[in-house]
Amino acid sequence: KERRRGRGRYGGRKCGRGHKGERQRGNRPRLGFEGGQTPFYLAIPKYGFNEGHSLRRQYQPLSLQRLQYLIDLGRVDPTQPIDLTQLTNARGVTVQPLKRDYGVQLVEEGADIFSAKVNIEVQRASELAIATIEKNGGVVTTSFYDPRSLEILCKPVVFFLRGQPIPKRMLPPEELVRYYTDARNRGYLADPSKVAEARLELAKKYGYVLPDITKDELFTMLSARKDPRQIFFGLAPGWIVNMADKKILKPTDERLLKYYSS
Amino acid sequence: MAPRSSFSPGTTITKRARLTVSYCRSSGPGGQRVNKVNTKAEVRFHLASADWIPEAARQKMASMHRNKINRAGELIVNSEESRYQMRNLAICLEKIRTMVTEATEKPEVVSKETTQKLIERVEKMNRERLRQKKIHSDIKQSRKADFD
Repeated sequence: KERRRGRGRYGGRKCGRGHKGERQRGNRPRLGFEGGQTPFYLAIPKYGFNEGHSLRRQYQPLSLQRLQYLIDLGRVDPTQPIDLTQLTNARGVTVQPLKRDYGVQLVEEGADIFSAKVNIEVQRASELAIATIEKNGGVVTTSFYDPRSLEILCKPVVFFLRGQPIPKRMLPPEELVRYYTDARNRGYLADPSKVAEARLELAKKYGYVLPDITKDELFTMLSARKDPRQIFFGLAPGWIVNMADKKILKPTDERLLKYYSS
Repeated sequence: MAPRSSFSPGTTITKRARLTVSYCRSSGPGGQRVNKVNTKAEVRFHLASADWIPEAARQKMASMHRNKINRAGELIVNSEESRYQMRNLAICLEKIRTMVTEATEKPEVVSKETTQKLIERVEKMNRERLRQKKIHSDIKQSRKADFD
């Protein structure tokens, strides 16, 4: 039995607005109004859940499953050190430095399937993620990028087109110094010998044999690390990259050199 | 996280110990993932021939964890608490470490002086309590107005 039609564009007859009242006349009260009863959003007392949310540091999660997916598809090259720039170019992660993002964190999802030997540099990493990467013969490092350096790191081409010299990366604030000097987090400011010890400890804890990376053919690549003040791998702070003429300009004034090498 | 065991730290667990590790599917809810993914880790080793544990500790473990030893004499430890195989394996190893620590620890020998001190302390507390009680009782008595 067919439904009786009202005809016309927009439905016809009552036009889907119901019968009389505020509904049909388009005069309904504002969202959240409960007819005079104290609405839910005013009855519940305030509590500082979101207090200072705009000052909290956020880290975009990168699961090991996603990383394995990117490597398998060939979007990320495991034979080169993997950096935030590499991940952003491969569109593996999207980082928004303006939204209080301070980088990328490694998450354990996909720890059982992960099997790739990589030299990866992130901003935070959980213990199991570090263990998984080291089990497969890779190297993890956690390093700090202040918001300006992070923006430059994520969008290098846009920065080079500005024509400004590469700034030096700032050191982490007080709360994070402790995190980045800890060998257990593989911080970039930690003691290398302590990092080696921490690798052994993790191997004992998770019950795998730690592969010897010194005997690896990619050892030079795996041990490539950035200087604490360096943003890009091949470039030092103070240099200007000229995209149009494909040239790099380096400062010659000794005061500038002194400033940039401090 | 320094190893908490008084027993020598975990190197011996993986290298010298002949542990048989096997993975299988965990139990409980979880849909397709729990049905397909091998996340339960099981570690077993032959207790009697485990020379990396001292003899006395071995006997103690055999008696403490007799429910976990099968007919072939293997001590079985399994874990399916975590979503990740690696973490479950780490939990198994940690459980083995704690078992061995418990078995190797010597019961605390309380020296004679300490036991005597403890008894003296208890007696002194009781004496003090009775003294205070007597004082309180005298106060209450002194408030009584007995006209005789």
